[in-house]
Amino acid sequence: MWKWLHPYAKTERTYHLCQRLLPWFSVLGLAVILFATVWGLAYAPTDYQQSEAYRIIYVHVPTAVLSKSLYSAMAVAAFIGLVWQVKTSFMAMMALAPIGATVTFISLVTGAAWGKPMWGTWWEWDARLTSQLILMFLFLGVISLYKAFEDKQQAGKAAGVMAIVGVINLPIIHYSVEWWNTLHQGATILKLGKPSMPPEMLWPLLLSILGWALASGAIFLLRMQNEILQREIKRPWVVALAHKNSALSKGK
Amino acid sequence: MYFEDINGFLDMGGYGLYVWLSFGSGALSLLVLWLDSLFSKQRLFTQVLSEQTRQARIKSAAEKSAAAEQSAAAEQSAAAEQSAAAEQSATAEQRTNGETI
Repeated sequence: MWKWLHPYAKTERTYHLCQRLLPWFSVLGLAVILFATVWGLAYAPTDYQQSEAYRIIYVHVPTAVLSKSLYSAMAVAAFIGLVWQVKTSFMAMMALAPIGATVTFISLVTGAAWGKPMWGTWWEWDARLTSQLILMFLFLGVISLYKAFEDKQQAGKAAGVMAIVGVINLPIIHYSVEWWNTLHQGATILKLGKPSMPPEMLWPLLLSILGWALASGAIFLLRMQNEILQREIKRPWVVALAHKNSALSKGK
Repeated sequence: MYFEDINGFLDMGGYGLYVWLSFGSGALSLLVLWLDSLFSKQRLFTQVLSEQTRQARIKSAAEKSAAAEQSAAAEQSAAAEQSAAAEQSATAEQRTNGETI
């Protein structure tokens, strides 16, 4: 049943799959982000309580949602790599980590910029904010642990264990607004029953989540290719590819 | 358009600084990550090619030193000093490659 997956353990096959998907993800991601952001900034109605400051939601929520999804994806890749000893799986883990760190960083910065006018402070050591900060340190920890090892198979195992252990932080982030008294508001979209948002506001938000996800996908494909090139630097197919690439750039 | 004019849009009801700070930092971070990924791909391709030329250089140096040794064996008595010099230059070449063969 899972046999169709087996060829993708081969790096060459995976590289070319990434190459085929890359333009779709890049163009669609950029287009959807632009469309959703313009809609959210210029056309969505204002909020009765927060007036225009609420528009920060159109960059804060997508990045915050993605930070958790990317961490889950990274942990799944680490698990597959550790259990089935799949080399490409560790490469996927390392391709995802910098993207996760970046979106987590954006969610923290935009959260601070939203907190200042609404709560009167850029930062508060409160449950949601602190657990999100820990998520960023987990991403950075996985990256630095991987870089600390010379032997990349060993590095993948060590960083993979760290990624899996860090999963404990995900439910803590999600339920932090319920378990503790916090400044941060509760869930708006991802909850049982109807989302507490009118559709004119909700649509651009859902679209911007999609756009950020597609853009992250595009960057993931690029970084996955980079990981493969780095590991297979002496393989004939990589050398042939490099020759083709240099001929192409000289022709321009 | 929800806003009446461009000034209202930029002002964001008095929250302009925070709104534009958020979107600006988001766009900038995404752009930096994207460009870094693109440039490191190009860097890796040049790295692949330079690794290839390095390997070729090591190989030719090894062949040269082997040839020098052979000729030294043939004219053992006459050109013993010369062969020693050739060998020395070959090892010097190897040393510049930073690689032992």
